[in-house]
Amino acid sequence: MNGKSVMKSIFIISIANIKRRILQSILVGICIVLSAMLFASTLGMLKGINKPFDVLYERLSASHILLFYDHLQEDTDKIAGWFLEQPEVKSVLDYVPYFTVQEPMIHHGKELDLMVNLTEHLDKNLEQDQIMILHGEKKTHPGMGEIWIPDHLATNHGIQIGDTLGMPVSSGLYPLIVSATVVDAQYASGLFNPTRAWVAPGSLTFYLPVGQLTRLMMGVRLNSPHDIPSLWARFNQAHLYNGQMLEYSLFKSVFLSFYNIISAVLMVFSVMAILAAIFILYTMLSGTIASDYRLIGIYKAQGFSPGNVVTIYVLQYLVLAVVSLPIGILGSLLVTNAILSSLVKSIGLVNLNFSFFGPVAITTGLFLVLVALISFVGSRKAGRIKPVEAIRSDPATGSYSGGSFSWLLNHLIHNVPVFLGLRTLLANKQRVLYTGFSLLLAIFILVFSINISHSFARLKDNKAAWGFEDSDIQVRLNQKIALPLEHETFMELIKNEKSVATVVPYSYCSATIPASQDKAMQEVNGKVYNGDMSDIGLVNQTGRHPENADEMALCLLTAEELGIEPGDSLEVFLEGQSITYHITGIYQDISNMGRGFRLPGSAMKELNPLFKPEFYAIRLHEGSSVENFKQHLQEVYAETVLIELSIEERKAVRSTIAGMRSSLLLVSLFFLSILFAVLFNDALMNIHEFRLGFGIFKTIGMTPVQIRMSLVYRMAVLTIACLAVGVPMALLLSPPLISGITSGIGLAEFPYLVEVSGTILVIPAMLLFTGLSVWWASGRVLEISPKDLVTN
Amino acid sequence: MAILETINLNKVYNSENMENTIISKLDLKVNEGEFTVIMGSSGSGKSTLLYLLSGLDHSTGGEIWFHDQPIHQKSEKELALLRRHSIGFVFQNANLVPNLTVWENILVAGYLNQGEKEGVRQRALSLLQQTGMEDLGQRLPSQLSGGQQQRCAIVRALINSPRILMADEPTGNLNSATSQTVLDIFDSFHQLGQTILMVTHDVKSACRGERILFFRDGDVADELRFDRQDESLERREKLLTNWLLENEW
Repeated sequence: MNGKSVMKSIFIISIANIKRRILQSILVGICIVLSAMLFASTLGMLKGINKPFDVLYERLSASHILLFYDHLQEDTDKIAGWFLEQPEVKSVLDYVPYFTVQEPMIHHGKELDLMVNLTEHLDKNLEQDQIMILHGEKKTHPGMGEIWIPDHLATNHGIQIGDTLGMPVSSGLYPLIVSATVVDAQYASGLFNPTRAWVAPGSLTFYLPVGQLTRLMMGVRLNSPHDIPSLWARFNQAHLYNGQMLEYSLFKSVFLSFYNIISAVLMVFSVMAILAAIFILYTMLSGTIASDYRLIGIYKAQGFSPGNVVTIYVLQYLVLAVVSLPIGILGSLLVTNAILSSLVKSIGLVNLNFSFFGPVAITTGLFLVLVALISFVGSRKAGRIKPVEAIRSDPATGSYSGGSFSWLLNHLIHNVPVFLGLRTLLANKQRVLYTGFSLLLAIFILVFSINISHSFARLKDNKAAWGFEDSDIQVRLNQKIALPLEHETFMELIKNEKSVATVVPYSYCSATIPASQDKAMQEVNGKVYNGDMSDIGLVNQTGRHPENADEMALCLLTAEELGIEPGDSLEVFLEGQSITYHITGIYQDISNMGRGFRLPGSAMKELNPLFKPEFYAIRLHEGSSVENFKQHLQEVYAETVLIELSIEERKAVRSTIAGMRSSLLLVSLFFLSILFAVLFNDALMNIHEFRLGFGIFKTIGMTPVQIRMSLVYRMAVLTIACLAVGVPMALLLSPPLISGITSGIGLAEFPYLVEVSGTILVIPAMLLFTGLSVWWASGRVLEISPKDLVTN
Repeated sequence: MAILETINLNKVYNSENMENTIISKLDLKVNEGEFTVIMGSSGSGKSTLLYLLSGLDHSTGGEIWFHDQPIHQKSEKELALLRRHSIGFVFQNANLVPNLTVWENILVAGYLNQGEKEGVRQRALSLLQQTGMEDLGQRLPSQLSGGQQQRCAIVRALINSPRILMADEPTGNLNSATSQTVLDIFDSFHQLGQTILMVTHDVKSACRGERILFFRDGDVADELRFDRQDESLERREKLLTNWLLENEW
């Protein structure tokens, strides 16, 4: 045979093989489609998620650096002038007055859970830090008495255009009409608190006495965000700046935090799906070769070389891959587009074209190489088959040995379907291995998803592990009333409340960590606690809480970035002074993306003797009702005390958690669909393999239901074995896996909570799922005609 | 008394718009306790008849009665139960389940009938002893000779004490000596009162029966009866051969 005709023959046989085992071919295809779809979607998301934010930033000419300062302490002209002289700087937006509303805004009688920086929208905003109006009248500035709010705030709280927001300012509750919902590049995420809202130019003076309007915002737009660290380091060398600074990477990481976690989770799952696909394809091919044993002998007798035989199978699987990959990639394009469109829609961008060439090319290349490699390695044994042996005998199926199961089998034999289920299970150990692997994977993903979802949902029961104060109620004193309560008085009163177990006052503050040789200066937000941090559940990963005035604990990522460990020292600028703190502990905290510090109250008192805490974390005695205590606070303290929303009650947090749970649900469903394909295939292959046996069983009087039940029992036994291994394995491996994923956002030890009922529910659910899948697939048993089998 | 009866039985295969009649208007009775043999040339429809009578295949017309039960009207499940309780079947190939041991092949059939656990074991052991297979219980079919496999198949077919044992060319794949052993087993069970219906084209096998039906073109063309009490095996073989020659079979 010449080369061309050999290839033609090989091609004909490959196509005939696909047709001959059409169902198995479809299942191989489904396997490739699903794993390619997940992989390409993950790549697409990883590639695509950055673009909308960058496009938005570019379209709105958003500032890469935002400075917040008191104009009585900083010289605006000097700072703006310095920035304008720098080659990296494109433009500067200065003299933007803003005011942080210290109390929640009121909508329809309810407090909003985000604080607001009320900012004047100036003519300069038409050039830099532009605002995109999503809903409402498109005009240059908000009118007097109007407010433009971020779209996420409106969406999360059901605020409509024309609604009135009560703005708590010194003169009382000032009504502002929502005239537009907008996209603000820096504050596009609802996770930023305070967020930014816009009012008419010059209108802040109507809400506040001019003397209190000392805060200004300055935006610095650069040619490239990569220049921020070096520019900021130089700025800090040139100026002793006491204000706050927020920059591009923080805005971006907060905005993309949810999508980044999902992408990371998807990437882990994609790798698992590819491994599962490799395993399934390999074992499926091995099974095919075993059942083609005699046929391979005939091919060889006809003159096919071992290489030709291998090529038959490689080509067969490559044809399946070539047919399946476009479907998987098309599916991934739809999924990725849907996810990215939701992201794009939320920030008001339209007609944003994503290029998926990279993900498509990588996925196509990777899967073709993998399929070629698997089919080559898997089919080499076909090349080694000796034709004479193959033609004259059946493949060596391996003699059965019940081994340690013999005793069990002997005792089960009177229950024939169960017995046969076990026997067929033990008859093909290789297939049991790959079906078991798929089952294990699905069980792992289910248990993982259930417990991760649960950990997010039960954040309120495990707040300290996330870095939040583990208190029942958080309150603050209302400073806007004529006779506000003093800190000392409140502490005296609250400590005497019967229900109260502990009160720890705390405050927010920010410090500047000076530049070092290899690190730029950075602004870090922290908290100051006037009391024992352990009383409100706060914990350290290493070391202990700071107790003395010269001690500080650092948040994980800040410590990592600075290369600091407990026992080291750190110099910071705080309250306009340079102090060196002794680092006593490292803790984890998801807020501020894992960056920050904790100080004892005594440290702040030394710097500022007038320092008073703003918030009070209150823990009640065991058994006390939080709702009753809230009511009691309102009755006794009236407007002097304001009750804060707890972290789990915040809308943005709730919607992020809901999104996370939906994504995990989707991933679980995806893996269940892969499992279904595997179970279906397994049942069909089992029926095919034991056709003769099933035919004989029918002849000796087994009903179709009994035969189908034997397949169900077979899978039930395998499922139980996999559950016995998979559930503990998932419980054991999930925490390090998710911690690896979340370490980038400051959770090196993910606060993993096990949902016992959900985890237990996986057991009957998986048994039901596998049982029904096999029952459905085993309908093929009905097609077996005993007469045909026994006569063949 | 008839244990099996067919009335106007038909079996037609349709292929490529062609009708192929295998069984044509067959009226047949098989009596309880009898060893009936169906002889016929290849393609005469004798095996098809056996499959129809056992409910493994469906007729295209007519009736089949197993005692007072209409096989032709029964569902798949009812047929399965009927086979389980009342019909034993032995094939040309032993058709043992390859990955079950001899012992398991037999017990599986026994326990299907929801037989009492120890009772089934005792009967299996007894049957294995009767067939000289008692030492081979733990072997896989692939570790047995053809004759041993067929003996195992007979034990499996008899484990539930069926009302009738059907055999389709049970010695077709065996050599002469092994065939004798298998046929002796049939004989011995028939002596104990077992009803047997056997299909064969082998004279040596056929003369084991007491009633021989000659099948041609889907119908019984002739019938020969032996009085087994009086005739020796050799004599019956001679009689049958002569009869076949005289009638140009």
